[in-house]
Amino acid sequence: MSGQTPASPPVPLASAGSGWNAFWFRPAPTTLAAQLRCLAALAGLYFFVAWSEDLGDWFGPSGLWPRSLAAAVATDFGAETSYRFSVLQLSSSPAALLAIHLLLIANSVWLAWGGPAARYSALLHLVGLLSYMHRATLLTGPFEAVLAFLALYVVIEPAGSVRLTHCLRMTQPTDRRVSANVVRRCVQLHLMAVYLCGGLTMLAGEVWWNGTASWWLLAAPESRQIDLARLVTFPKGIYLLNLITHTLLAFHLAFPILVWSQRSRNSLRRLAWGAWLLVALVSGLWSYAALMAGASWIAWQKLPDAD
Amino acid sequence: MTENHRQVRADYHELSDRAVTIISVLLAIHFIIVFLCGISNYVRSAMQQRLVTLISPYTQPLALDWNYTPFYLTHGTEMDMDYRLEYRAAGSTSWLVLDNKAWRGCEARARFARWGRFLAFHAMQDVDEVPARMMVSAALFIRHKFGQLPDRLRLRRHDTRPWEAAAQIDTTRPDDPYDEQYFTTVYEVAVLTDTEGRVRVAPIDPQARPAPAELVP
Repeated sequence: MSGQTPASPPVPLASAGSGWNAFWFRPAPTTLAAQLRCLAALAGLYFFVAWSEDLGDWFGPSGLWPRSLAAAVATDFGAETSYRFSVLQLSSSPAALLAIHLLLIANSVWLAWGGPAARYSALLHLVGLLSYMHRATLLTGPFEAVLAFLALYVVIEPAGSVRLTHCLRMTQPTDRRVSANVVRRCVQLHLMAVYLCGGLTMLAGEVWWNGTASWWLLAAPESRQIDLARLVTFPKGIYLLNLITHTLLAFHLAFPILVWSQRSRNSLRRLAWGAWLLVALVSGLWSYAALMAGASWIAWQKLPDAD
Repeated sequence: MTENHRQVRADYHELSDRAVTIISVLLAIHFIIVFLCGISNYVRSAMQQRLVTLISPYTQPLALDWNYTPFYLTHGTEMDMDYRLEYRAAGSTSWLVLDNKAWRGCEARARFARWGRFLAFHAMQDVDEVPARMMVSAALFIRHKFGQLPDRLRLRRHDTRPWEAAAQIDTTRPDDPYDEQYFTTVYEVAVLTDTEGRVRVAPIDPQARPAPAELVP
């Protein structure tokens, strides 16, 4: 307590306050925010391009997901209020849909590259993504859920002055901003929520306890990525399935806790690539796995003044 | 004020104390909401449901409410199985699969799978309005795509064969994952056109309620 004036807060409170400020408000390199921007923009580009072929099939006048049905489902047939706004809900004309679609693809490329008006571009990117997600309510999955919050945080600090090529070369410009750190922390905490949500809800399923969850993913006949089911032989095969299952569960539960320790962080970041590759191989959720691996890699990278 | 505190304060000099306080409060509220939505993603208590509804004007527009997104990958239940939509042309006896030809790992394919699961979820709960309207849309889509209204539509669940069958331990279940034993019809409708040109669907299950109609565009 020595050296403190009577008006100062108690040491634990002051310490918690300075810890909070150091966590959120210590400036971080803008390159880091730019890398997150590039990841969100490139994932968004993939998202929009993946809609290209079947945009009319879903949202067109004779689409599988007409506007009236989307609106009814969003409000649970009038039982609830929906706050999901979508520009795509305004029209189902093929020409209008195509124009919006092409604009959003071009904007994703622009945002990934970086440049003037990056914040407006990031905002348009976010509105575009949310419009697609809200128009296709309940047709979206984990990939879109992660992409949405990445795009949201990029709006805070898109770091437009750092071009895509600089991000790829990992060159570190000297300027540092508080907003870049806020983006990084927001992404870290939100990713942590995804990991914990995944891990804890896995525990609600018997297949994650008896070790057969990987089988149900690997052997799904219509959605599996590659036919690894043929590798399963008795009795050794079941041990392999158990090992994959328990590894994925342990990774989901351990990562969001251990990644905060400086000692284990780098090992976990590397391990995350392997774990997410395993998720992609067994589940076929390549885009979700790639986005989670990339975001985890970037968000927890070691900064020059390691925290 | 500790040395560390002074150093941190010097680092974020670009923000005023008031700005730091306001941003801190907003961030704290935001992440309380994020974690609340996270823990309410699988099953919701009455209190969670009430809270999630209360904050929905903030969470829904930003897609922060994950709304039962399956981050758990699978639970090995019926809702985690694959579904396929099949149609039968008028005068034909063979069923065709309305398939998305996209690469299996592609989002376009995943959307189609989720569409089937969503329909199945409501059909299995005997809620007829959603599946019937989805089937009307599917019938109109097939007519738009192939030039002819289908005679029948059905959603079939493609069960994953148990690993015991694949490993030849359980010889009572076929090893072929495409064996007919692994398919279950979840919902089937006859597609009808009324005198005003409106397309209707009539569930084949006699217990089901009459399905609503959709105007032909």
